[in-house]
Amino acid sequence: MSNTIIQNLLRLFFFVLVQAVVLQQAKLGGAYFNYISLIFYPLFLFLLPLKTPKITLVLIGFGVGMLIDASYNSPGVHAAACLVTAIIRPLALAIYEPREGYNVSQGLTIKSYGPIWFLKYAGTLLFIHLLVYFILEIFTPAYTLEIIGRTIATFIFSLFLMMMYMVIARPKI
Amino acid sequence: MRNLVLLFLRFGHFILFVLLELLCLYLIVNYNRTQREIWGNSSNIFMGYSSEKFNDWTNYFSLRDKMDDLAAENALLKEKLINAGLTPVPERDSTSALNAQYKLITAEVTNNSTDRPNNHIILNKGRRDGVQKDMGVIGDNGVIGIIIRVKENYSVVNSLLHRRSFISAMIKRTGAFGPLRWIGSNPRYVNLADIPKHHTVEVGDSIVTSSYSTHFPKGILIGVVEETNLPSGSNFHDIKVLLSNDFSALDYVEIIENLKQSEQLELEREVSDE
Repeated sequence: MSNTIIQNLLRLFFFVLVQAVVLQQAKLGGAYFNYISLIFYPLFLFLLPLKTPKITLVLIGFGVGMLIDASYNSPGVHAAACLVTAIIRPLALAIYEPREGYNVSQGLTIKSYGPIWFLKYAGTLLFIHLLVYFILEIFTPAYTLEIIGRTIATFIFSLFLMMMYMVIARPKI
Repeated sequence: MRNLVLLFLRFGHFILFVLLELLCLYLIVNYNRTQREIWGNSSNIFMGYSSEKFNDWTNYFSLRDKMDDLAAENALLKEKLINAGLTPVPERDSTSALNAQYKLITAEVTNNSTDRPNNHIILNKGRRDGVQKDMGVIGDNGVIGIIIRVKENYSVVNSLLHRRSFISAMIKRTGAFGPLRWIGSNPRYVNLADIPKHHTVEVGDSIVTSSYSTHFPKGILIGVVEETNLPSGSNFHDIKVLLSNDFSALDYVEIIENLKQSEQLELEREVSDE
């Protein structure tokens, strides 16, 4: 139990560091096409243990969002997106529940439930997370096309990055 | 109390989510420069728009008060006119003035046609409103026709675009008169017949109602001369008149009540009986 908490704290530290120091500076599209950002840290919320209470999930989401906001200098934007992600995570888990059900002792990883399941689960949550994020970031209904464009471009590259991490690092919990 | 705790245990995460989400929105709007500007501008626009709409509404409700004010002011002005030794201008519908001969009744067109050989117009005023057979009808730009049938609430007008409608018209410049006839094809044109050839007719002459008609006051516009020619061997001009009213787009018209029509008709009858 305490092992799980320590593991998650370490992961939180690592993800926030990577997001703030490396990915925030990454300009994949170059100077002229700034649609692609890399948003990797939500993976932390996806990988929290299955039995995390909903209210804890919401609080953790808010905390992680504020940490990221501190480095992006955008108070509330990431936090609001994280809150949405945290509140719909139980729904996504219920929708994609495998036929034999979830195993409480296993983490929500590729190793436990397979790559297709993880792709659907992480993809759904990430897409909604990014949509909320870009809506709040751009904040103008007139730029709806830009919001959708940025969401899709960022979604593809971020999800790819997450899958790379899952395949290479092979986290157990 | 216990229920409240249960409720919070059940939906606590959602309540917390909503509260934190509101906190986030507050932070976004207050501590991010771009979003703050967008928010500020949008709320200005929204507030401006809604207060404008609200003003429209309240203005509408205060119309009656304004009307009363205006009427009171009118009365005051008239009083001043009388006291200054000037008589106020008689009102348009007033019958109180001794020599007022014509009274107008406003009516709405409920049915209309221009594409048949004989066109009728239905008006939403009838006997109840004082409409009678043989009254004249005018629109914004001149003559429309003559009432031929009256029911309790509606009346039927023989429009100028009717083969049996004969309205006595004259050329304003020369005073030569003759009956108007519709040939029955183009709703923009009628023909003026029986103008003797010693009168000159020019394109652009105004055609108005003559004083011989008991339906209309003298000098109400009908149209202007569009084309004229004198067929060889004929004693009369052949005149094509462009109507000033667009008969296909009528909405409100006025019915003319000639208060002295019966007197005039009576005299005419007496003379013809002798």
